[in-house]
Amino acid sequence: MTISNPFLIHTQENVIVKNPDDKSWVFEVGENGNLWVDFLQTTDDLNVFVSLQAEEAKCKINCAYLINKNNMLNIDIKVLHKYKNTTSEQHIKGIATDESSVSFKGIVEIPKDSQKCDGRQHHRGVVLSPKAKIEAVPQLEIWADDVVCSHGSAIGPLDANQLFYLQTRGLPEHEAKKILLNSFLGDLMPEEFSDIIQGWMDKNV
Amino acid sequence: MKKQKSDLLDVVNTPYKEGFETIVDTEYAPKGLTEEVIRFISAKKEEPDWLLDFRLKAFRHWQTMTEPHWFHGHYDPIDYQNIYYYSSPHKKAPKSLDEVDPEVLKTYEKLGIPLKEQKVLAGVAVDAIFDSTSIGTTYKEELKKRGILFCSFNEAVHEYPELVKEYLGSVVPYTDNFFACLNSAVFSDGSFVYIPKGVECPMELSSYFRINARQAGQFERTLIIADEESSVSYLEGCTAPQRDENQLHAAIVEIIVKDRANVKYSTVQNWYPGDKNGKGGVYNLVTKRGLVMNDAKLSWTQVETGSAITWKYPGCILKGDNAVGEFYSVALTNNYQQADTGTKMIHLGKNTTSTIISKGISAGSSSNTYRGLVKMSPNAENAKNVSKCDSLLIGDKCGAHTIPVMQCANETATIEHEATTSKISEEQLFYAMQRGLSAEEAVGLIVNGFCREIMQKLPLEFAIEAQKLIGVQLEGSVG
Amino acid sequence: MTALLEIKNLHAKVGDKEILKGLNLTIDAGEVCAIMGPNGCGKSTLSAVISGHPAYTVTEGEILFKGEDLLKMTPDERANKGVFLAFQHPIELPGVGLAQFLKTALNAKRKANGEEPIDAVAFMKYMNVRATALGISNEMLKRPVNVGFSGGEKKRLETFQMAMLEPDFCILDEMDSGLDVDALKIVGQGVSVMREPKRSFMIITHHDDLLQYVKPDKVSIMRDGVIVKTAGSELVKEVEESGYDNF
Repeated sequence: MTISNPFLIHTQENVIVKNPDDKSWVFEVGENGNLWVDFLQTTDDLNVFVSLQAEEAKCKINCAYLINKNNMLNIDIKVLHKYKNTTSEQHIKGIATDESSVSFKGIVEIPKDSQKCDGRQHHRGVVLSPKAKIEAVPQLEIWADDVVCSHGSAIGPLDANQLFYLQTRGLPEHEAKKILLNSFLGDLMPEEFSDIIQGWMDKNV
Repeated sequence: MKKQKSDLLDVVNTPYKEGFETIVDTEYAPKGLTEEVIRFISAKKEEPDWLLDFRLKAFRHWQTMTEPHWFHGHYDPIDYQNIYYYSSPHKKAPKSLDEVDPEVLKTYEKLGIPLKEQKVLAGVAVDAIFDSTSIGTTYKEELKKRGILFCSFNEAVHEYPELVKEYLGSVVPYTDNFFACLNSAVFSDGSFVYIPKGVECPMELSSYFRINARQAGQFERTLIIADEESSVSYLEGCTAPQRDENQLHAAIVEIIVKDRANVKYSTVQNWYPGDKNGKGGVYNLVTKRGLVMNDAKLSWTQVETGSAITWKYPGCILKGDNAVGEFYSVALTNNYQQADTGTKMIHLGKNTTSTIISKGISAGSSSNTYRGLVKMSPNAENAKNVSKCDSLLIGDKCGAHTIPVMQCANETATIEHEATTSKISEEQLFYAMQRGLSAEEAVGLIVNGFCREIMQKLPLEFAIEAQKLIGVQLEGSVG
Repeated sequence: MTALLEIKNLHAKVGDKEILKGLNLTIDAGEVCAIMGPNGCGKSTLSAVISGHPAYTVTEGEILFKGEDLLKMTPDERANKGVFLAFQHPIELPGVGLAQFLKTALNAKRKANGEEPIDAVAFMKYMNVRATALGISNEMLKRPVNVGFSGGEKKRLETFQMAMLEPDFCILDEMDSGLDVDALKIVGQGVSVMREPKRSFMIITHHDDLLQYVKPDKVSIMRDGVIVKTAGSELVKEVEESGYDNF
């Protein structure tokens, strides 16, 4: 891990963590286990695999990406509901500016026999400059019928009404954008990362 | 109680009603695919040289390609040398219905598509395609009075060569993909439509495809040109006899929607799906795409209940500013059917918008995949897309998959996608059964409810047909 | 009077938990029977078991309806024999129009009775009369079953479905929970109108709200999975005054 790609494991109950290299993570969550981890990516690729191995295993994966210049970032997150009665949540949010590009791929897989699972995944990306690109491929792979699964993904600019509202209160556009982007990531990322996020915003927005 | 549960588990099997075979004298090209076969097809159709060249170019390119296998599922490799690429119930294309084999006419009557003028469907003009040949087009003359050209593809090649030459391959080039390339080399017949500038087509136009001959592929090609400010609604229906071996269907539909024109293309696909053990059935590998110009609109609606394999992504290239693309889909799979279907929305112009609503229902041991691409190019200022994909699972042996690809390269464009997967809840089933509905009726009603917003997009007669089809296809999935 | 419903020594469980523990109850044709009891005593389980909910397993005992063994029948067979359950929490059927749903249900019943399906015009007439009586608008008939309706509207729609299907035995499961006075009145009157000599009602409730509009012929008090006392309608007052602890 580098300082510009921090992570924070909030909860780790009955979880085996493997970290074969800087960019890859494997989490095996056992019976009644619970995992909650946050990632912030600004330069490095990220490859996360979570296996919910036993009954009542749970995980929450939060990931934010902030990317600039002509950087390219790949973020792959896969959650495998290997056992019945398991629950997962993924929240991914990010910003691409300059000529950067991000490719996010998220998979929720529920094999046959993993009944009564609940898998959710949400992605929201903001393209901040004319030459930046975001690609998102959120996948659901469902082979069991008694499950609740959903994913949502949205890519688009900041809300124009919110931006306008802030400007009418006297904020210049870039300040208004910064505030909105901060709150966009603020509800996802922990306090510990706020300096990095703030620093990035100051340089790039 | 247990009965209700097992009901739910073994829902899907009534005999395929369109599975009969028509015994007619059929002419084939030699089996397999060679340059000679292509020349044979072209000669049979008395085609001009430019079209033969197009075919040969495609064939040579095809020989350099390999069959794609990114399809979500499995199918046995296709032996392209074991297929008849041309089969026709007639030695020569019929000039009028009087020359058509009465057995063939009977086939269409049995399917509910009478072609004899005194009985034709009111308000719907039909081009009927039997294996490789168009056997008749109804209401042709009446449409012509308004300048609307509606005929078989082959006829268009002879009657309106300039139009065909200009637009053939303009939306789906022969290099597009393996199956489109194959089609470009061997396409047999299909429908051709031209709606002149400012004309609103007064009736629904439709093609009705039927594969009959054994081991024959069907490779039709549909070309629709809607000139500026025109509008048309087009329907497509398909069936095939019940056979143990798989049949190959690799079609192309190309649509050109010019400025301010409006095209609605609806499909009810009911090719033979194979038996309950997964034997036989049609491989439906289709490329459908439209080019949509300024302020124009193309809307695809499909109800896919048939075929052993479905592999199709009707798409819109939203080239003009303010162009609108829509895709509304119901895909139902049962037994061992596999569907991998969705759409491509390519936003090139400014203020272009697209809407995708997909409903997938999986039963039996089937697999149902939504695969889609939404692409916002750098010039797609303020473009918007909204997608919603819902999957419903019936039984615990089937699968539902959602693979949407979203690419955004414009900072003002918006893409929104949502997907859910669920099953028919035991509570819903119980509620409906408490009112007296059998498990099967209850499932049919709930599934139709799930699809309702798509069914409402279909022309009325088609919607009723499609609702019945869904009921029939689900029979046996709740025993 | 002849018995319409006879329940003998009924034991039922959900999962591994036994909820009905040897319940006995007889309801005669034309009778209105109130089942009262505290929360968790098994009242709703009783209604679910009579109508055949798949989550409940009967381990012992029998239920005879018109002399036939109800437990051998699927939920739809029971419905078509004349058992109707007005749900405490009506289930949503997205995309399924109410009118279409009722037509399908009515025709299922006609088919079970060896009758021809009702034609569209006759059905509309039949439906409109009943809808008007319960203040159900045309717009509501077009909406999907129970989707987007308020709690009060849902209960009214349950009453309406009951009027449409003309069952011989109506189970009202906590129809009065969550209803304001106006809605209660509509539902109460809707039920009263349907009283006739061959139709019986089982009204499940834990207070007397609905019973002010539909006076029961008898009241059975249920506790811990069995009926502990059955008497006339005066029992309602007793419950209201001193609760269930005395039973």
